[in-house]
Amino acid sequence: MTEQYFHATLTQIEERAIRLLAGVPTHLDGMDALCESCRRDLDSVILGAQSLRDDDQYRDASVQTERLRLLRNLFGQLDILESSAVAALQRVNDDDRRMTKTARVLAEECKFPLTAPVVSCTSQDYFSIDPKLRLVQIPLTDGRHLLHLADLAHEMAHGLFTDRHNPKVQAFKAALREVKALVYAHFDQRQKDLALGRSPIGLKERTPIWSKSWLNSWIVEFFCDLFGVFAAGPSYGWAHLHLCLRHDSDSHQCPFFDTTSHPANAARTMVIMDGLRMAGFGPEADELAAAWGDFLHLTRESSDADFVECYPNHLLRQVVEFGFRAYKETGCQVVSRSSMGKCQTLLNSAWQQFRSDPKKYPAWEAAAMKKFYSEYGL
Amino acid sequence: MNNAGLESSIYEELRGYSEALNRYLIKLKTEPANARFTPPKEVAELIQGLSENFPGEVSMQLLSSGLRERGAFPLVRVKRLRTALDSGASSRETIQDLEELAQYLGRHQAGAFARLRRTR
Repeated sequence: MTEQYFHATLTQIEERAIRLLAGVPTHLDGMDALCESCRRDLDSVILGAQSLRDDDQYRDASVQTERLRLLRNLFGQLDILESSAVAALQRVNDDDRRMTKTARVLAEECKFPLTAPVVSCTSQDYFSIDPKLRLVQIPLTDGRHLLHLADLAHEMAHGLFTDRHNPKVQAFKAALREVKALVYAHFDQRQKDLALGRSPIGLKERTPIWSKSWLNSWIVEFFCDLFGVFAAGPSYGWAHLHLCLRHDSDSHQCPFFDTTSHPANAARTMVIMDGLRMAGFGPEADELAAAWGDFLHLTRESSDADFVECYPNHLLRQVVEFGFRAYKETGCQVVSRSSMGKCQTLLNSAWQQFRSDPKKYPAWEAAAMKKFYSEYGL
Repeated sequence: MNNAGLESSIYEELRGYSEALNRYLIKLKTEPANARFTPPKEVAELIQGLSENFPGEVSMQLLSSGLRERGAFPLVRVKRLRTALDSGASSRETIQDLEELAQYLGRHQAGAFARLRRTR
């Protein structure tokens, strides 16, 4: 690769970043932190491109592989910024402002230890978060309705596992390590046991995939679900069930050939129900369990031997116990019937209304949202 | 609850490590052979994380389990690298280990980025 190529490409990266930087608003109410993060990251891309292009040390023939890797990093950083944060900031509308306020109020009510994320209604595929930029993306019209908004708590919780050094999130990191050790020990022992005798076809091969899925991402997803339960109460459980109904899925799915990022919906439901009971919402957990049973009857799904092997009850129970302890040690406030804040009340009332009188729900929702947001001038 | 959040945080964490590791490599390769360099914090954390059984970061979990599965970069080699970096002295062997690690990191980064593009 010639020096001229590096020079021209790095100049293009620099120009692209400068153009994006010019498009980042100077001030956006409630979103200044995201604007600042964007400016900082774009600045670092510009400096990085200039340095890779102009500094003598990068022209040494022995470091061109490393130089190319650094150039690719700049492209990657820029692509992500352009397609998420900058795009979101350039189109901020009233829905985005309302959703950002919702996340902020919910964060205050549960004493979330980090800065609340900015929410943008620009997702093409349900809810997600960029934990580094603290940007949550939700679908275009989901900000007009209440039923799924408890899921904001799940997305916020992902930030707890991204902050590397923040002492405020160490309880969750410690819990993650402890559960990982338990999961590893369980599947390691299981593999040893299976090696001793006959076992169902393929089980020996599937066990390591399950173990790896647990260690790589499932525990984090379970913890984020639990955060949702402890922060938003039963509304989180109902939102989960609603999501299960919304999409085609195999509720008891156990990965066969490769790891998956999210555990099966049935396992998540078990964790959510257990979490609700632990938080003092026993009757609500029973109602959710009954509704989950109806759902499985409707979809004609049931647990099988693989599911029991893949999601052992005692591990799910440990996840809930460690998650509950970490939540409290972090200083977050577990929601209760008597201590609900305005946002928590809104989300839980929405589900009560929706379930008790679905016909009147749309009018109730519109009025409730108007009242809630008018208090914040939105 | 889609994968984008998970994948973007994995990609960003890997990118941070890759950035620090490649810059450190450049320094080691372009400075006088007898120079002594303390590795940057991120590189030290990377090596430390790879020698842990259950690291706190998702990206580190992927890296360390992947490394062990491949068997090409066993724990003993990670520990040797850690000792070498702690001493601050660079040798041909250390640079070669770091180059392999950077290559491996790059492959994981490419995978994370491809998954991220699919989820967005």
